[in-house]
Amino acid sequence: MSKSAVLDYLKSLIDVPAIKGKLVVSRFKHFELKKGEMLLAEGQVSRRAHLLVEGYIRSFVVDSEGEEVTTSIISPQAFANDFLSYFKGEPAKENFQAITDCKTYYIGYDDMQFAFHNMPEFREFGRMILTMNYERLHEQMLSMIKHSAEERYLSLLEKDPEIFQAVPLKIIASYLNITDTSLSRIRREVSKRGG
Amino acid sequence: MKGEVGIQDSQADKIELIEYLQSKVHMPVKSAQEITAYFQLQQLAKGDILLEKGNVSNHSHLLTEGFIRSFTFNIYDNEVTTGIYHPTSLGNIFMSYFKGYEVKESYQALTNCRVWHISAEDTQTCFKHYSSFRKLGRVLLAHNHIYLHQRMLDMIETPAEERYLKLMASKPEIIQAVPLKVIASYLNITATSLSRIRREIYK
Repeated sequence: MSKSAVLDYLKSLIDVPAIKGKLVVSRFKHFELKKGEMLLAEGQVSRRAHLLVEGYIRSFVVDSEGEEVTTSIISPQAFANDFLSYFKGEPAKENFQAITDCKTYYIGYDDMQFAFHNMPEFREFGRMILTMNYERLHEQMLSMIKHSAEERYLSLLEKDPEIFQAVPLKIIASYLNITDTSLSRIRREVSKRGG
Repeated sequence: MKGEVGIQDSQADKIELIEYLQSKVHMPVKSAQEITAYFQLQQLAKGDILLEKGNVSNHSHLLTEGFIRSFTFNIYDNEVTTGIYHPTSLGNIFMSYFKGYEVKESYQALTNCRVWHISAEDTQTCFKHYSSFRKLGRVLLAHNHIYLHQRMLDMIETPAEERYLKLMASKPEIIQAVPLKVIASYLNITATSLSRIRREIYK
C-alpha cells in the first residue's frame, strides 16, 4: 500500500493540480495500529487526521449503563478522526479503536493548516470532509428513526459487504442499534429467503 | 453586486439580516451589505411548512426570528421531531450549498417566523467572493454537526430526565415557545413520561 492511495483519495474529492496534490501528500506520514489499539481516546485532543488505507476502525462511547456503544465503523479510504476536536483543539467526544490491524497515513494539524492557508483547493477539501461527515451522521440519525432493524442490516450489507468479513457481529449489532440476538435472527431469516 | 431582481426587501429588514450575519462571524459592513442583496425575506405563519421532505431545494435558509422544527416519520408512521431551530441556537436551519439537494426531512414553523433564503448559485458566488461568507458557511456547518453529534451522544449517554434538564438549562426559550408534544418527540421521550418528569421537577 503506497502513498498513491492518499493522492487518489484527494483527487476523488477535489480538483487539484498534480504538483499541489503531491506537495500535500508529501506531508502525510505512515502509521500502523494493531487490532484493539486505540487511535484516539475520549477526552484527548486530536492532533493527527488519519486516512485509513487498510483495516477497520470504530468509534464508540459508553452509555448510561456502562455498556460500549459503537457509533461508527470506518472502512478504508476514509478519515478516522474527530475533526471537530482536530480543528478546534477541544477534547474528543468519542473513542477511536482499531477493530483489525490497520494502516493509515496521517497529516498533522500544522501541515493541514499550512495547506489550508496556502492552497485554496484545500479549503474546499476541508469543507467537503465536514459536509460528508455531517451527511453521514444525519443519514444515520434518520435511519434509526425511519428504518426497521432488518432494513438497516440490509442497507449496510448492500453498501459495505466487506464489513461482515472483518468486523465482529457484536460491534455491527451495536452500530445498527440491534441486540446481538436480533441480528443473528435477522441474518438467519435473510439467508433462508436467499437474500 | 446583484441587480434589481426579485422582491426588494426594505432596508430596515436587511439590517436584521446584517446584524445576524455579523453576530456569527466577523464580517466587514460593506461585505455584509453586498451579501444580503442576494437574500430574500420569507415570512411564515405558525404551522406553515417551509420545506417538504422529498422535494428538491435549490436554496439555503437562515432563520432570524421564530422557531422551526424538522421532522420525519418512523416505521410506525408516527411523526418524529428531529431538530428544533431558532436564531440564537448554535446552528441554523439549513445550509444546502449544492443545487438540487433532496430534502430529507420536512421543516415546519412552530411560531411565526422570519426566514431569509438565498439560491444555491448565489451561495456559491458569495463563497467565491467573500472570505467572511466562506467562514460563515464553515461555522454553520460545524455548529450543525456539533449539534447533531451531541444529540446522538445524548441519546446514548444521558438518561431521559437529564436530557430534559439539559435542554431547560441550555435552551430555556425552547421550553417557553415549543409545545410539549414536540419537545417530548425531540427528546425521544413519550409525552406521558415528559409530563411525569416535569411534575417531579416542579414538586
